[in-house]
Amino acid sequence: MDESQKMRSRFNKGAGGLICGPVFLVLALWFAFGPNLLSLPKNPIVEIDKARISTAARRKILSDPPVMFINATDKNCMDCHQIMFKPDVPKTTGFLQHKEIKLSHAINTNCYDCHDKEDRNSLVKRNGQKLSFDDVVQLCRQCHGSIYDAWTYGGHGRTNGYWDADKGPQHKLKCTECHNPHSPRTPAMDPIQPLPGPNTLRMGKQDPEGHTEHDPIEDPLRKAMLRDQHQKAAHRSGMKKEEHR
Amino acid sequence: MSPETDVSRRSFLRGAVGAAGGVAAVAAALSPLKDLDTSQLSVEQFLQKHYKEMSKEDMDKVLERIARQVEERHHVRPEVRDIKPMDGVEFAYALNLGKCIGCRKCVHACVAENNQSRSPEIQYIRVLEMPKGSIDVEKGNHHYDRPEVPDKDHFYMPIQCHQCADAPCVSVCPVEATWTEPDGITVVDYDWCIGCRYCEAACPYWARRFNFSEPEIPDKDINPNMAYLSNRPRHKGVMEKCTFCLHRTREGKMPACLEVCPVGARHFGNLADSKSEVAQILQKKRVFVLKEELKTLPRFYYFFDEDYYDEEEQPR
Amino acid sequence: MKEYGRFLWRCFRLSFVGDWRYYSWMLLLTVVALFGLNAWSKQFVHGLITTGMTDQVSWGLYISNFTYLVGMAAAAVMLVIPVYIYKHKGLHDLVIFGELFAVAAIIMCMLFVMVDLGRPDRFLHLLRLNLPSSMLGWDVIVLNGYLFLNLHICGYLIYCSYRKRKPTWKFYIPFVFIAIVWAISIHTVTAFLLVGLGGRPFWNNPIIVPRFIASAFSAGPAFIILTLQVIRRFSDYKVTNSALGLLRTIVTIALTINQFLLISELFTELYSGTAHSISLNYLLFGLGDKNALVGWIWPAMIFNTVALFLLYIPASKTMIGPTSLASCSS
Repeated sequence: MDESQKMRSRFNKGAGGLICGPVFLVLALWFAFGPNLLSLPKNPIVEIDKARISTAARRKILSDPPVMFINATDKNCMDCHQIMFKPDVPKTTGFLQHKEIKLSHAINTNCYDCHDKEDRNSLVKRNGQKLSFDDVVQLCRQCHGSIYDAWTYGGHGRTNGYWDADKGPQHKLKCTECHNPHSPRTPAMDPIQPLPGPNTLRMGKQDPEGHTEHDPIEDPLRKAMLRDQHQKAAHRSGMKKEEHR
Repeated sequence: MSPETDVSRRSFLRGAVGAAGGVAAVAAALSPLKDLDTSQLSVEQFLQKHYKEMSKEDMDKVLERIARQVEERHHVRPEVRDIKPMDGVEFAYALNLGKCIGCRKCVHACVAENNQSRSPEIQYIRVLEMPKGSIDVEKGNHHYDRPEVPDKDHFYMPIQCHQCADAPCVSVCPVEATWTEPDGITVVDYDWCIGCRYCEAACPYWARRFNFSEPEIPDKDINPNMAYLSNRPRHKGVMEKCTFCLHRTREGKMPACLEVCPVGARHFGNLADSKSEVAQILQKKRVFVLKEELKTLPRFYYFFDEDYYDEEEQPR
Repeated sequence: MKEYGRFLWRCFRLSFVGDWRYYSWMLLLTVVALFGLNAWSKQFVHGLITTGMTDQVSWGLYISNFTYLVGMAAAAVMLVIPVYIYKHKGLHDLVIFGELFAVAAIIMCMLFVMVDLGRPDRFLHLLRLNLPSSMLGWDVIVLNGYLFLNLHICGYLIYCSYRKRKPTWKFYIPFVFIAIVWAISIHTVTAFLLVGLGGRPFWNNPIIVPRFIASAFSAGPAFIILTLQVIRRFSDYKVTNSALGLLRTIVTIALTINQFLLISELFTELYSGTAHSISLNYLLFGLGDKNALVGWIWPAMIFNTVALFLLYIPASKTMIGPTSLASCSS
């Protein structure tokens, strides 16, 4: 037999096993007892306060008959306003009660634009017709007709409960359940703190400013908007300086 | 044919050492399997049929198994149902981009409602902070983190599964683990999905999520009101996504994301009913869809109407 | 039948016959395979979180290796065509290596898909394929079909050689011709599954399909050239220079086509510069600080181009080794 055949036959006599065996045993020990190099990068669980995802309306409103909690008791409007506080020209600031009210509703500068002078349990329309607090929507409708139309078909506002009225109750939120009737822009349009952003698997560090502009050619719209932003920012900081004086 | 060589005892023993070592190495290589959670690997589940082929009896057994497993794991007895679509209903969703303030309440309400994994984090809805003047989603910022929203120079666009009428994810699934139901919702059979993630590659809106590991949900956060095709807890290795809360909407309720929106930007309902909210919005507002050129025919429409006002121009 | 069983048993025993170099190589491969088995066990227990994949990048090395190996398996046809259609003498004894290589590559590529699955225990669900719409469904069929075609052809020819019989024409020639067409189809279907995604504009263009075939037919024969040179060096098997020369010609032509298609792709995306070309920009130049792939794509393109030039130089006809290696990076 020549050299290579001799080698082959020697290996056929099991010499290969003598080398492979120990190598495999070392490998087995490594797998069984070696270091655990596994990476399971799971993010810590973030608790979200259930109150922040509540489906309740933003404002709790008065219904008919209106009841307010004043001086540690539940009172009906006429309990106080029967005998007092019926000025011909109502003041809109410096209240002893209802201190939280700040009247800032565009051209409405007089409480009696919406509240009935004689019967404070009622609201009143421009034509003198009295409305219960449950029908507050009809009051707002007088000036905000197009928003009322959209609200009717569902394009404005929110409807909680059932989309299918045959299956369950629908709670279409009334105007005052989002908008404060005395200063309507709040709280519906108030800025709020956003809930936490995403923290997905292996996300890495992300830029909260999110700069992703890569275009070598400048976009004229972006340029104009950035210029306006800078002007507004300068204006804002200029205004703030004045307030401090 | 090679010459048969003699097998002496010595050479046999040497060969045996090699073979034994090999067996030991293979066994040790497979040793991590000792930590395997076998609750999802029963014979029952191996033989479980596709959703479309299950009889009512099969489904009842499966629902019982799911309820039992949820109870064992989370110590909450859930109610797991197989809710069929309502007749004559075609869902649609409309979102008012003029109103959305980017508060992300919808994101977290969805997580709470649909028993999504908190770690690793899965969220079906992603809100993009978009620069004004563009609806190119590439320009959206997912990670905005301001003390207050909305920011005056951006608008906010939440993205979730659009339940496309011609969904690319449905056509690419090799095993039909995902399909479009008669009411328009694209569903996933979590017990049929093989986890190939082709649907995730196909979705143009990045709406689909994969369970890269076993989901972790705190027991107290489990929503026990479950359905087979929507919010029952999933397991590692399968896909999931927004299902328009079908466990709620197929019983006539609003989806969870809509109910928490503080500005009423979301609208949902039955497109087949011309008097419904969404049908009227589609008629009266100027709606559009994302990536329309891909002809996925989404059921999720966006529109703008009056914008968030500028405080300087209209002080209170 | 019993004889066939004995044949298989003797094939198995033969795999333990060899010299120290053979044993070292097999030992190395086995050790690597065992590391892979261990890693996959961990993946099976913990889920695909052990890989680097995420919802944003949900297909990674598993699918790219699958795609590469499908191409390599298809390239066996580049040995079959010269021998069975053009009766090339030099390659006649070597075509079996091509077919065996195809079997090995197809098995590996199907294993890559198996390990990529989130629920591999549900592989039987693949018996209920979503045809005709799912390209991955078609891929399951064509890959398995190609495997069985080649297993039959190789098994039959080697068995006939073992029994010292001349193979009967009708038991293998028709299958060989089917395999020629089938080989093109496996890589085409794989390309289709990547290309048919409207939501991914970088992939959703027709040039990818011919590029897949062209790059497969340059990388596959290149790998076979290297393998044949190893066989020539370490065994008594006769590998003629004319065989290697023909394979080299095939690589040259396929690589030329591949590079031309690359130039077309680059021009189309970069010249029109729409928002869709952001993907190519990411690949070539990175986006901001996200540039993980830049270091891979530039060497790949450069190696391909250098390989092409090396192949065109007449003097390199005697030094094929480095050329083949460079073209592998296609």
